[in-house]
Parts: sequence; C-alpha cells; structure tokens
Amino acid sequence: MTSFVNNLPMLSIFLLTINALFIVLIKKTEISRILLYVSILLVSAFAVLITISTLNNGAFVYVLGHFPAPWGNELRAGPLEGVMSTVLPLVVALSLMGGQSELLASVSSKKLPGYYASVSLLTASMLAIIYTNDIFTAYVFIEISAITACATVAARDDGKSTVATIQYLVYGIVGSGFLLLGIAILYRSTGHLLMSSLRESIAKVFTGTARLPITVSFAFIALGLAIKSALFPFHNWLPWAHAVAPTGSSAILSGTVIKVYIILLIKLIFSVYSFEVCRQMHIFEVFFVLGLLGMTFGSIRALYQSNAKRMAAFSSVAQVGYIYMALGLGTVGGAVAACLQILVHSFTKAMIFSSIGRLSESVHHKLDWVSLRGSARSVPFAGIVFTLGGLSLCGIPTLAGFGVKYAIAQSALEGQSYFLLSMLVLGASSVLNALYYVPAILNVWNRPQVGEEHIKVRDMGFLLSSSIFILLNIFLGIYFVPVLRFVAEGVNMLGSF
Amino acid sequence: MINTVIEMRYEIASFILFAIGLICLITDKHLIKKIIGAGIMDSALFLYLAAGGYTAGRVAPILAAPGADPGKYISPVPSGLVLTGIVVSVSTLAALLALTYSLNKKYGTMMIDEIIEKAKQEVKDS
Repeated sequence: MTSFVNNLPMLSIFLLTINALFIVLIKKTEISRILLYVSILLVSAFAVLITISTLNNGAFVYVLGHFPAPWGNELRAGPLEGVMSTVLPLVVALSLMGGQSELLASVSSKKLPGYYASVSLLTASMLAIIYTNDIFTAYVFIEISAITACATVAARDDGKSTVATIQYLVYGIVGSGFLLLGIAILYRSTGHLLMSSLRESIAKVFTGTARLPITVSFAFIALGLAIKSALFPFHNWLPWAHAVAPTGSSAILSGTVIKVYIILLIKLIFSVYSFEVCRQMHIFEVFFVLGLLGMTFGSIRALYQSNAKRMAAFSSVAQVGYIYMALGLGTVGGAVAACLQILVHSFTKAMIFSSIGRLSESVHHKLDWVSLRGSARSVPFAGIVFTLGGLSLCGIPTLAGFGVKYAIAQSALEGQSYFLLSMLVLGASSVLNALYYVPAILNVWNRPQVGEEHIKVRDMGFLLSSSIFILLNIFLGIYFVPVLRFVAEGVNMLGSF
Repeated sequence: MINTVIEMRYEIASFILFAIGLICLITDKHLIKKIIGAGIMDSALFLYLAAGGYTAGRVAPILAAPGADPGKYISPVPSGLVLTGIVVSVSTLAALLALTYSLNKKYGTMMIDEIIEKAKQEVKDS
C-alpha cells in the first residue's frame, strides 16, 4: 500500500499533463470537458490517499530517475501537501463547473479545447509546485503556471482581456526573474538545488561568510513570490486580470493560483531556510507589515469599486494580506493559520466569483452594481451563495472565515509581540469587509429597477458546484479545530525533513 | 579592490545587465522594447549561472574515455540549468510576442499607455 501511494504524486502530475495533450489532439469540446473533470477529480482523490497514508506513516520522498539525493530530482509529499492538493484541484473543477454556462456563451467553441488544455496544464503545474522538493523544478513550473494562467485570462480574445493578460504576464516575468536570481545566488553559495540538501548546507554556512548571500537570496525569492501572489505593493496586476477574465478563470486564479506561490514560500521557510534562520533574517517583520497594509488597503480600495468582479478582486488582495500577516507573526501557529486561510479563501472566493457570474448572467452580463440590483430575486440560489460567501469573509461564526480569524487571533496571543496591533487591524479589516460585502448583499436582494427584464435560467452545474462549496464552508466553519490540528501536523512534518 | 572587481567581472556585468533589463521591462512604454528588456534580464541571469559553473583549468563534461578522472571536468549542472532557463525564457517571450501582435492588430499601436486608453474607451462605449 505504502509503495503504491509513493507513486501517486508523480502520477497526478503526469496524468494532467498527458490529459492536456489528449484534449488538444481530440479537439471535441464535450469529450475534452469530461476528460478534464475526470482527471482533476481523480487527482484530488489520489491526494486524499496520500494525506491518509502520510498521516499514518509520515512524509515520503519520491526519487525521480533513480539518481540518489544530492544529484537527482525529488518529489516530497506530507499531510500539508496532501491537503492542499486535495482542495486546490477540487476548487478548480468546481469553479469550472460553476462558470461553465458563461464560458460556453462568451468563448468560441473552437477555442474551448485549448482553454480546457491550459486549465489541465495549470492544475498540473500547481501540483508540481506543491509536491516538488527541488527549487529549480519549482521555478520551471511557476513559469508554466504563468503562461497557462495567461491563456485562461485571454480566453475571450477581446481587447481589454488581452491588455490585462499582457500586464499580468509582464508582472509575472518580473516576479520569476527575481525568483530565478534568488535561486541562482542560493545555488552558487551552497551548490545544491534539492531542499533537503540545501537545508543541511544552509545550517552549516549561515553562521560564516555566506550569511549575506543567503539572506540576499531569500530576499529575492520572497520578492519574486510576493509579486506572483499579489502581496500589497505588488498587487496592481491582480484586479484587472481577475476582473476581465471569464468567471471560471477568475475563480480559479483568485482561488487557487495565487495561493500556490505562498504554499511554496511556506515550504521554503520550513524545509529550506528553517524557522530560526528566517527569524534572524527579519523576514517575518516585513511580511507582517506588508500583510497589515494589504489587509487595510485592499479593503479600502474594494469599497470604491462599481464593478462587482473588481470588488471581489480587491477583496482577494486583502485576503492575501491576511495570509502574509498570519505568516509574519513568526510562530508555527501563525504559519498554520496562514495555511488554514489558504484553504478557506480558496473555495470562499471561488464561490463568490461564480455567484457573481450567475447574478450577472441574469442581467445580460452586466457587472456594475446598479444593473445587478435585485438580480438575486431572479436567481435566488446564486444570491444565497453570494450572501454566504460574503458573510464568511466578514467572519460570521459557523462559516469558514470565522475559523481563520479565530486561528490568527490565537496565534497572535501566543506570539505576544504584536498582539494589540494584530487584534486592532484584524477587527478593523473585518469591519471594512462587512462595509462592502453587506451593502453588496443588500443590493442584490433589493427590489429591482423598474422596467428591467431579468433572465431566469437553470444551471445544474452551478447548483451542484455551489452546494459543495456551501457544505465545505459550513463544515470548515464548525470543525475548524480538528482541521487546524491536522494542518499543524503537516507543517511540523515540513521541518523534520 | 581592483583585483576583486576583475575577479568578479562576470557577476558585476550580469547584475548591471539584469538592472538594465528590469528597468526597460517595467518603465518602457513600447511593447517590443519591453520584450527586449525581458530578454536582456533573462540573459543576465544565464550569464550569472554560467559564470558560476566555470572552473578555470577544467574541460567540458564530455566523457572522453571510460574511467576518466571526474576532477578534470566542470560541473554539468549549471549548464543544464542555463539550457532549461533558455527554453523557459523563449516560451514566455513567445507568449508576450503573440499577445503584442494581437494587440497591435486590434489597436494599431505598440505603446502600452495608448492601448490601455483605447481599451478603457472601448469598455465605456459598450
């Protein structure tokens, strides 16, 4: 059983990559969609097996091509990788399902197989970034994810989405340039690329003359990943790219793609540089301050948006701020809270984006708040999904967002260093979240404008995907303490390798 | 001082090139110049990696006869990294060029600020 599970990470990445090739060759929309759903759900099920197995037997390393440790390439899987690669592909599949009717309406059927192929490759590259134990492999797959993510943004092929794509790609190239620079400096000062060998080597040379290059390398790597994951001052590309993309793509990008880079960052902190070295480099303080700024600034900008998708995109900037702020507390508990926030925000934001898509479909694909007024009365289920998603991000108890705020508050209490400041900003940011989500929710349930014709259409895909999102949200809202313990075990296992 | 500069000439050159490419990529308004900047930035990184992989007095890692002394060869890993990096860089630049081509066909200009203005106007008109 164990030896079989060891093959699953490689098999998942391989399956999705080959799947993309098949989709491009077949060129039939229906078959390629079924292939995509089946393979993504299969990969997600594989990850469940990996999680269960690693919780019982500990994390494992899969050696590629039979070259042993200092030379070869490896994949590593533990409970944290298992949980993340269960949830993120699931969110990708559900987002696609939720945004499907809009996708079919706005993207020409000739381009759909290409779109599905890029989603398949995007998921494969996300899994590779999560599983890999080699930082150069991580770089290569980050580039693949950037190109395929651009392809999903540009799917509509109109002017504004092409402009947004080119901006996204330029920011992406700057980010990966810094990342590669950091990796190159790290490689030249240690001579290794595998995470386990790097960790031993850094522990040896950090006290000596190599202290400066190693600090610089981490600064560049963190800068690159921060640009990619839209941390506060580097977030300019996000609102536009996420607002003009088709609904399914917005949900996938906001929910999963920007999180993968943060998971890589957490892996680097725990299994490459080690917690103690990171604390000496004062990197946590930087994350904490930028996270706080992102939380407040993102919410304030979201207040002024007249476009529903742009509001949700700015809210993503604020939520990424939460992740970095929790990570910046500089405790293991903070990193665990950050992982919980990654999980919770991945499906909460996917849920908000797909419900906005459904609501706007009922008002002839308009996205401004004036046109959206009263749209929930024509598509009540989408209204309920939007309401629950918004309330979850405001931190109402029994919904998933509450669990995150509880976890962050608890770890801030343990850290004690910035307890008051973090509580203050956490409170202020929750109020700000409520300030834009509550009026938005009231607006969609309001009496519609006189003379406005709303379209009422059934969409079984949206019904199914959103029901699963709601169940997940309520489940994590009530049972977040066991999940938190579970994630903590995964984070602790990262340090032991 | 001067000896260190001579010793580190490849590293210094690659950092200067990286900065030139980065500034060009971020600040230039012309899309093709932006792409050239991205190319310069990537090449600077490859120079840095390749310079790190070279050890004076050693030869390329091509095995002449079985059982040769491994101490005579340079490490093949940096060359492998540079090759992989070139492939990655070519594909991102190709994606950028394709997007630039379609924008130029649509708006008839290469300046990103004019394109953004026209795209915003298009959104307002619709």
